[in-house]
Amino acid sequence: MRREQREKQNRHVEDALSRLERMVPSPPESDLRAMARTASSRSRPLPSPVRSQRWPLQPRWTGILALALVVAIGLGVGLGALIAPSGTAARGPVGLGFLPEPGWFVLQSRPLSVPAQPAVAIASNVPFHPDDDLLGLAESSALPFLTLQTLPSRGVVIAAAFSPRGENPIADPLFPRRDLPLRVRDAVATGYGRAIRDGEPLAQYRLHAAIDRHNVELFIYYGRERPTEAQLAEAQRQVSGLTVRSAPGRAVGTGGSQSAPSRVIDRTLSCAVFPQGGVEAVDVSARSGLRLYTDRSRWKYPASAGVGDFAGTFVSVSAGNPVADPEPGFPASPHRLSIVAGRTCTVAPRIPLSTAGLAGGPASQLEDRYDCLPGRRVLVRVRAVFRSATSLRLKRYRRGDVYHVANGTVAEGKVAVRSLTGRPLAYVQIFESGKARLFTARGCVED
Amino acid sequence: MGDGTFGDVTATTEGVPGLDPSAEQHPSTPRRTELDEAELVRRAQLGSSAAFEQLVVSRGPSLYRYLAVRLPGEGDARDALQETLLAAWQGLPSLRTASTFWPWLCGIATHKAADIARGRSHEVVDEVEASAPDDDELLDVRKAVSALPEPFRQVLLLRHLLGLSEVEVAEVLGTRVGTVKSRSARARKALEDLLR
Repeated sequence: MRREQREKQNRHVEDALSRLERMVPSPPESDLRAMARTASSRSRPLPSPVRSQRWPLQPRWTGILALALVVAIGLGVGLGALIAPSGTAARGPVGLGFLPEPGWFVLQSRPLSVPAQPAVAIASNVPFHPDDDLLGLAESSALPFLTLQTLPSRGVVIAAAFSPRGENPIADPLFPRRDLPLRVRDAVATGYGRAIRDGEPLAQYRLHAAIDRHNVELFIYYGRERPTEAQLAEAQRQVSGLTVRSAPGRAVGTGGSQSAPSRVIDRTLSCAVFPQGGVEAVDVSARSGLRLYTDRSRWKYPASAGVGDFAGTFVSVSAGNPVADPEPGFPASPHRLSIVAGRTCTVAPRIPLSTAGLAGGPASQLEDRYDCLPGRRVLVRVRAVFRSATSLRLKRYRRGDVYHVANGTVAEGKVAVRSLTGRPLAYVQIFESGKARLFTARGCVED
Repeated sequence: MGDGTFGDVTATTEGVPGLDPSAEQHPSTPRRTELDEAELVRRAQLGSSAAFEQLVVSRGPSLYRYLAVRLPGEGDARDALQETLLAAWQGLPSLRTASTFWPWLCGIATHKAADIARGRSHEVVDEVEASAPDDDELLDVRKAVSALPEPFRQVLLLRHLLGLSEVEVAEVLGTRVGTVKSRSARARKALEDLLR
C-alpha cells in the first residue's frame, strides 16, 4: 500500500517536472550557435608553465604580512614603486599571444614541438575567413590572406610572430628593445597592403620589438588606406593585450634543439602546398626494400616513404639499417626520419593512420609515386617506431632547408596524407623487413 | 580509434561545418549519421569551434531549460548559459575524460546559476511571476519548485531536467551519493506536498 502510494507520488512529481520542461521554451538554434561562436571566439588562456604552488604560509602569518604591507605603504615605502612607470617587471600570464579583448577574434599557433618555426598569434576585430582558421589555430605564415582580402573598412587585423632571440643573429639588431604594452603609433607604414588588395588598398604597419627573450614582429592591417583614430584606438586596445613572457628556463612556444628520446616519434603537420603551374599537388612515394644481390643480409635500398611538393619534401622515413651500397654520387643519408621544419608548416591535430577510402597494395622496388591534389594546404602525419629510443634534432642543410631528423633503425613507419577537410589522400606503411604498402585515393594520379 | 587518434575522419565528420567530406567520399566507405559526443569533445578540446558549436546545439536546449527553471528571468537564464559556454570553452582543454563532458558542463551551469541567483535573490518572486507563462498549473509547478529548499531543488533539477545519475549529481554538487539519494527522496515528497 505504502509502495503504491510512493509510486503514485513519484509519477505525479515526474509528470509535473516533464510538463515544466516541455513548457519552458528553448532558444532557437541560431541563438545557440551565436552563443557558441561568442564563446569560442575567446582565445583560451595561455598555458601556465608551472603548477601554482599552494600558499605555504599559515593564515596567522598571512595576516601579519598583510598588516606589515599596509604599514609599509602607509609609511610611503611602497609609494614610489606604485607610481613609478614599470613595463618590464609586471607579473602577468606566461606565454606568447594575445589576451582576449571583447569583440576580437584570436587565432593562436599551438605551442610548437619543433624549433625554427616562429610562434604566431593573429587577432582580428572581424571574424576570420573560414579558410584562414585551421581548427582555431593560426597558420604559421601569419598572413590570414582571405580575411585581409575581404576586410571591411572598419576592420583591423594584427598578426604577431615570435622568434627566440639568438636563433638568427643577423636579424637580432633589427629588433630594438621595447617594453610592453607596445604602442601602435610606434609602428611604421609599409606599402605591402596594396599587394594584398590592389583595388581597395589596406593600410599596413609594422613594428619590431625585442621583448623578454623574443623578437616580436607585429603587422597591423586596417581595412582602409588610412586608419581612423577609432581604429588606432581599437588596435591599441588589442595590442595592449599582447603577452610575451617566457617560462622560466626555456622559451615558450618553441621546443629545444632536441626532443626527448623516445622509441616512437609521431608528428602531424599542416603544410602549405607550393603550386606548380597553378596546381597544388603533393607527391607521395613508396618503395619496397631491395637487398644486395651479393649479400642478402644487407640492403641496397631500405623500404621508404615520402611526401612532398614541388618545393621540397615534407616528411620522409625509411626502415631497416644499414644501407650497404649507396648509388655513386648519392651518399646514403643516415637519417631514418626527416620532418620539414623551415617551411610554412604548423603542428596540427592528428589524423588517422588508416586505409579507409583508399585503394592500393604492395609498393614496387622501383618506387611508386602518385600525385594527389589536396588544395592549398595538406595534412601529413608520420609515425615511426624505432628499435631503440632516439631524438629529433634540428638540421640545416646548405641550401637553406631546415629539417628535424632522427637516426636509428626504424622497425615500422606509417605516413598518412589528408586534405584539410579530412579527405583521405594516401597512406603508406613500411617495415624493417623491406615491405612497403601504398594506398591512394581515386583522384590521385600515378606519376 | 586506433593509435590514440580521433578516429576515421572520413566516416565521422558528416554534418560538421567545414569537415563534411561526403561530396568526395569513396562509395565503399562506411558512414555514420553523426559524430558521437566524445569525438566532438575531443575536437573542441583541440580548438575546433565547429565541434563546440555542434555540442552546444545538441546540449544547449536542455541546459537552457534547466537554467530557465533554476533562475527567475529569461535574461538571467541566457546570461548564465552564455557564461557557462564561455567557461566551458576555456576549460575544455583541462577536461580529462571526454565522456564526462555532460556532467562537467552541468556542473559549470549549476555554479554559474548559483552565482547569478545569489545576486538576484531579492527579485525572485516578482520575476517568476513576470516571466512565467499563463498556464496556471505550470505556474504552480514552477512556484513549487522555486519554493523548495535550495539543496532539494538542485538535486531534483539535475536528476530530472538534465538527466544526470545520482553519482553524477553527487560529483557536480560535491556531496556523497547517499546524500543525493536522501535529498532526492525528500525533494519529491516536498514537491508533492506543495503541489497538492
